Formats: sequence, structure tokens, C-alpha cells
Amino acid sequence: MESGGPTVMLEGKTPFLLGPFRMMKNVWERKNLIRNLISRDFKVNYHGHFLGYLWSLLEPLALTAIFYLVFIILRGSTDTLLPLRIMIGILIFNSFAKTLNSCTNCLVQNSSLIQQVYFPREIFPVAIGGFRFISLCLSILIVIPYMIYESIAPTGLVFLLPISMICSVLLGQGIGMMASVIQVRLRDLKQVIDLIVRAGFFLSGVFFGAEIIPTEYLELYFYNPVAVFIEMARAAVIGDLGVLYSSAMLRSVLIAVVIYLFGTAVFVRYEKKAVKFL
Amino acid sequence: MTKETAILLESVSLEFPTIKSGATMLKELITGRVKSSQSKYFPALKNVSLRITKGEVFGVIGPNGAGKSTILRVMAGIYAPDKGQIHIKGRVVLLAGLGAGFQRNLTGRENIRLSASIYGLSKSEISVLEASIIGFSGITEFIDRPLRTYSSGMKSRLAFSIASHLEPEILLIDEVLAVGDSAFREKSKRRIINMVKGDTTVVLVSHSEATLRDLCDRAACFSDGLIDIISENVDDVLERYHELSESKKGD
Repeated sequence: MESGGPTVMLEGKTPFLLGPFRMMKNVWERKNLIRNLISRDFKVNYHGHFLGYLWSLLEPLALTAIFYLVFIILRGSTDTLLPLRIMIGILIFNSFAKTLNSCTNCLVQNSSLIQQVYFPREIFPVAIGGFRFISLCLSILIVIPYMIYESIAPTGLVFLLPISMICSVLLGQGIGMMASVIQVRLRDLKQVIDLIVRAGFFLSGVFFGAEIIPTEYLELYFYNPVAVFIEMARAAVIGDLGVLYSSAMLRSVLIAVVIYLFGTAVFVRYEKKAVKFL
Repeated sequence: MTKETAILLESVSLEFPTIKSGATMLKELITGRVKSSQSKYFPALKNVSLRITKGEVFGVIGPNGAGKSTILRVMAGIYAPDKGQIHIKGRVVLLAGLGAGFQRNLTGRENIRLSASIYGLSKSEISVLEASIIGFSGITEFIDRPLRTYSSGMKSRLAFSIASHLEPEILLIDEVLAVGDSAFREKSKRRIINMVKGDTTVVLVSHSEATLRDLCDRAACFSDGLIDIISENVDDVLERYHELSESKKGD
């Protein structure tokens, strides 16, 4: 190049560990696009629905009713807080699972756009995570009337709720970003992840509390970060830690953050190769 | 004085993986035999070097599968080269198939905002251009209705209008010159000629010989991932293209 001025080098790999920084920079530069993609997701998801956004409240409510009825029939449960626990379990687990699913598919789903226009592909998983987190914020509001009805006053533990919400989305996005670059080559991965998520639904305590786990298995049970995030959210709302202890929480948050950063680094490193398979 | 370089490709090579079916992969895994006839990679560009100066209009022609669209996508950053280097100076826009990111359930206005932000425009840039985009497309009363109510002509008019307002420094065009009815086609042709005549650097992939002859300062004919001929005399390039097409027919 014989002249000065800014030169855009399209070639050049970002060092693996700097991946998350590249992503942050790109996300900041294209925040308008992310905003538009998130608002598109909201409009398109609820398009043509009579009840619109209300569905993000009605869906967990209906599922809670189903599980609660099943439990009363099976066990004759008398715990008045069980519906609240189930509701929180469903909300946290769903936002994890839906983020994971959409992120796994983000490259394949957007293949025509990717081949048409260049923009940093990290935008896709970030926009998905943002959309899921905002949806979760809107639907978690449903616990407020329940808390008023049961006259549960918020306690100091409430700070655990945002941590649990953020981490469940981060974890789903982190795993999803790793999976998405493999998914383009091996489309079977989506089915495998679907199965794991379905098994995870039963293993993560969505419709039961950790207190029914035998104490000798409790530590093993808490190695599942999603189970811990669900318990954290419950503790935050109900104001009682129950069998949950802080080292499990710390470990799970750490797992989510590390997987998120690692997933970002993997995605930034391999997306260029991956798009050739589209 | 030498002119500024806008695009510089230095011995760029690009291979695409050939995707095998699961059954083939399993068979190869079990028998341990890989069919040598099926190579794992398909070379799309072989060691291509090219320098395009600022303000130049560069035409690309060639038979199907010669790597014309691939080279545009490499310049746009969509595919990273396996070997070699690319230097691009300035904002690049690739026009390949119109209406990037269009959503049928969003309104025309929402689609303008979404599509323009996909092309890299900021919120303030979009709000400045919005009225002009709508005006040029001629879709005023339908602009707040969902895109699915549009005719295909209206959709392409909207898409072209967005694309022509992007004002990049480097414009890569992959055969999208003719959209809409004849009046709109005239209007869009004038618009493209204006962009081409200005100081925008243009790389134009086209099969239309008249377009290439009229607009281009220089042209190249691609064949099997290589530049077969490159010349300022566009007629020479077109002649070579005819020879190549004839010999392909003879195969």
C-alpha cells in the first residue's frame, strides 16, 4: 500500500484468548444492529398473536398449573409454595434451553444473510442472548403477584435473582456458540443437544426443590450449574437459602462465566471456517 | 503519480470443503478406504493477485463456477482466504441479491431500519436517509404495512432503494441491475451510473456485455478460479470470454 490512511485488513486471526475482547469491540460498534435484531425477534415472535407479549407470562403459568396438578395427584403435596418454585424453575430453565437452542442454530438459520452481507457474526449469539434475557425479565414479573398473595416480603437474598438470570443465559449462549460452529458441519448436533436438554429438564429440579435430593447426593447434584441457578432464583424470591450453600453458587457462576468466555473465543476463532460449510 | 489502491489481493487462494453425506463418511470410516476421486476440498480461487485503484470501475466476467461471486465475497469479507492477503481501504458494500434481512411480517419502514443497520449504518445515519429511501422507492402509502402485502416488484424497489443509499467507498455488485418496472429500471440505472461515475470504486460481476463495455475502465475474465485475462481493453476480455464459452461447449 503506497498511501497512508486507514486500511482495513480482512485477513489476520485474532489470538484465541483475545476472542472475547474482539467480540466486545464489535458488539459495541454495531449496537444499533443488535438493538434492531432484538426488536425484530420480539415483533416476529409475537406477530399475529392476539395476546402478544402476554404469552411470555401465560406459557410458564400454564405449565406450572400442569405440573402442580400432576404433583397433587401423584404425591398429594401440601406445599403452598410449590407452584412458585415450579414457576421459577420453568422460567430459568427455559431461558437457558431456548438460548442454547437458538445459539446452536444461529449460523445455519442465518445462512442466506451471512452469504449476502458481512458483519461480525458474533452479533447473532449476542442478539439472541439479549432477546432471551429481556424476555426473562418480562416473564419473571409474574412472581410478584404470587409473592403479594402469599405475603412474602423481599429479603436481602433478592440480589441472587439477577445473578441467576444472567448466568443461565450466559451459560446457554456459551455452550451454544461452541455448538454452532460444529453444527454447520455436523447437523446431527442439534438433535443431540435437544436430547440432552430434555434430560436436563428432569435432572435440574425444574419441578422439585433441591431439598428432596438425599444429602449424600446433594453435592453431586449441585455440580449441575443450571440446578444451582434455579435454586438461587428460588432462594432469592422466597427469601430462604434452604439446602443451597455459597460454594456451590460461586462455582456455578464461575462455570457459567468461563464457559461463556471460552465459547466466545471458540466462536470468534472458527466462525470464518464454519461459514464455508453453509 | 500512482493512484491510491482501494483493493489489493495478494496471491489469494480459497478452498471450499466438499460436504459428504453421513452414509459416505460412515462407509469410509468402516472400510478405511477414501475414494480418491472425491477430494475433500474444492479450490474456488487459485493464487489470485489483483490491484484495483480508487475510483476504478472493474468488470468481472467468466463462465459459471469460475469464482466470480466468490472473489466478490472474499473482497466483502464474507470468506477469509486460506492463503494470501487482502487489503481493503474504505467501507465496502456487496450487492448480491437484494433485501438483506428482510422480514415479511415487519412493515416497510421497520425493514428499512433493520436492513440498513445490517449494512452497517448507524441509527442517526438511518434517520437522516429514511425519507429519501422511501421517496426513491416510490412506496409511500404502503410503507407502514407489513412487507408480505407488497408485490415482488415493490419489494425489489424498496431493497434497491436501500442499497443505493448506502454510499460506500467500495461497491461490489453481483448482477443486480434490473429490478422493478421499466420506469423504475431507468431510474435505478441512472442511479448506478451516477455512483459509478463518481469516485466510488466499483467491482461489477455481470454477464451483460453491454453493461461491462459501457461502464468499466478495466475488466478481467475468470476461468476455473484463475484470472485468465485482464485488460483495459474490455473488448479483448469479452472476446476471450467467448472463446472460453465455446471451448466449454465443445467438451
